[in-house]
Amino acid sequence: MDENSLSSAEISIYCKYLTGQEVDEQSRALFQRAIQHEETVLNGKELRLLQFIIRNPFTIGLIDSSLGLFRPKHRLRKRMIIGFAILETSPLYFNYFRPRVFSRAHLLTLMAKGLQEALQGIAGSFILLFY
Amino acid sequence: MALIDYIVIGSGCTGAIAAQTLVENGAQVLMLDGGMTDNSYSGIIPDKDYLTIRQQEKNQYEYFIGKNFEGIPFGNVKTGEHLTPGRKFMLKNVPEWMPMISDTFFPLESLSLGGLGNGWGLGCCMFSPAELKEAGLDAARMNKAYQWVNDRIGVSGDNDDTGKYTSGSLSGLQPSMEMDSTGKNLYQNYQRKKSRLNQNGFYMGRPSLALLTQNKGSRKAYQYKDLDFYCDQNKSAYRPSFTVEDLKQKSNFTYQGGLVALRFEETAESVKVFCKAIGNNEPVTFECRKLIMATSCLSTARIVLRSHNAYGVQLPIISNPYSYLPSIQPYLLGRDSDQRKVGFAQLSLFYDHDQTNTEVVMSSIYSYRSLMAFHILKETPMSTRTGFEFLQYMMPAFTIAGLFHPERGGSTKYLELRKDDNLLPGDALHINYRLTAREIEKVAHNEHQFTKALRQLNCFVLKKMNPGHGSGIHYAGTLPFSDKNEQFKLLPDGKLGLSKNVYVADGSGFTYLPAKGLTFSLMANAHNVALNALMP
Repeated sequence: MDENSLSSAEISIYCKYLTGQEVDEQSRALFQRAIQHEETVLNGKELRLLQFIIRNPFTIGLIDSSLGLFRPKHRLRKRMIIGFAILETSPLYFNYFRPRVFSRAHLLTLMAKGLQEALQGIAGSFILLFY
Repeated sequence: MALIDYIVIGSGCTGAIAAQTLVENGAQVLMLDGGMTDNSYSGIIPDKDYLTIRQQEKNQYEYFIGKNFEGIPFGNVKTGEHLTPGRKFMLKNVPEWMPMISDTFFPLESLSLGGLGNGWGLGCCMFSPAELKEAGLDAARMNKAYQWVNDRIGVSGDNDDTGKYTSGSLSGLQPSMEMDSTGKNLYQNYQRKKSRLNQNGFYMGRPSLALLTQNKGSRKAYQYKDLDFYCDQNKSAYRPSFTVEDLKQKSNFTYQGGLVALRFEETAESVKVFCKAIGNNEPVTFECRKLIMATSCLSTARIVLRSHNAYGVQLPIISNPYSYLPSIQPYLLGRDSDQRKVGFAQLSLFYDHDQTNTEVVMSSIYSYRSLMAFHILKETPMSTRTGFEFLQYMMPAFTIAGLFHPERGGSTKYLELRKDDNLLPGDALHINYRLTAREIEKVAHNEHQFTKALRQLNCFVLKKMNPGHGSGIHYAGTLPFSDKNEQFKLLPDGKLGLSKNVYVADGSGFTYLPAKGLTFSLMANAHNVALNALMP
């Protein structure tokens, strides 16, 4: 896969994972332009991790958790934040990003998610061991 | 080269007010300025509120994260990194023309039209008589000048529990802006618990802001669209560039941008100002009867030291220690977000431990929304997906308290200019800024007191953040006021020591920095200095 196809697949998987929607062409093009920044160009090891995610899209949640928990300065994490910023500023995904009202009981749901997040992070760290 | 009556260097809050004072009194004025403006973003933000834009505008990324993604901090966050794309022009050409080297001080400087005033948080506090005295300023004259500035820029605020710390005796204040739910909830809690908080020296109230809540001339009342970090809709928020634009219509005012003033040379009857053009580095010289420098205290120090060939000479500097306390009001967790929201400070919380209005610590309280979720998300130790779910739940409850501490000079706080022929101006400013152990202890004590007070208001601090000295963008005291006519000091009228016709209208002379926002006092002082310069 060339660099363009890789980043195209990367934002497609990320958008689907985050918002449940297909990525639009404008966001795809913006993402590909934004990641040209020197702080987000991947080295060999990081590139292999990205290729792994593209081959196994279901692992993105594990790796996202693990990077957030253990490797917040990882370049793939930075690229996810860039992807997030681009999607956040597109009206197509407004429904996902818009402010919401939650019940008091939602705190319990979030606590359960926090626990799940920690477990996912630990599971994802096994994948990161190889990359 | 024609001899001009007055040259004002700089178009920020002090330069604009000094020039306005001179022009209103009939003087011929030339303003020399960096003059950088925003050519990319002005006018492209639709006249809609933040949520409507988010919902409708296809190209909103251009102004929210930048056409070249300059609104996304990719690496380590430095001072100024938080500026949104539409405000980044403030920093244009600064590293090349105002080189600064320090590992302890991280200031923000500007060569833009309007200077740092383009990013001013609008806080308008009058210093108390005791604070003015310690800062080297005359209380009676400053109080008159505060009113003069208020009459021109328009200040809104209330004479509530904090009136004595903010707008005091000002007349003609516009009503305070409306609060959003973040401010309202906290203020209701304060009203219920104020007697106990007051006993401990804490007072909460509406901030006085240079923000119009009623129309004033061509400027319109604030519309609550929550785009304050991105643009100046309807000119409701005061920016010094508005004053400069108005002055340009006057026949006795001339503006020349695209210049960096490097040094001056004084003769018996005139002052020569040596500049370079930013675009082509060509030297340009001007000559005037009186020079007023209003370039902010760091640049003024550069110009004065360079003019005296005083490389290696140390000058003092003062900067308010700044910290901020991201906090949560649990009552607001998961609640509905307001459509009408405000980016400016909602409330002020003052800590006047001995109730003397001299050693006051000030906090400005903000809500958070329009700066986008990704800025906070990158700091959360979670996946982006779960992290955002937490943020959505927490966002209405998110409250940020920015804390300024009073500050005095000391032997560990100084700057000096060192030659470096590789740099465009031929030198760099080196700054050393360290607090003493006692000062650090005092700052920590005050932060602790604020944390306790906020807890009493059912607002819980998540973390204490100290972004480094200089990041609060309050600097002063590089050429301290003195009654003696000495080099590198200012006389009480703002005249540079040992000079005949050079005045300084920025905060270089202040010998003490109260924690209250200093911009209003800088402007009042600039007015007085300009009046002094008008005297024969």
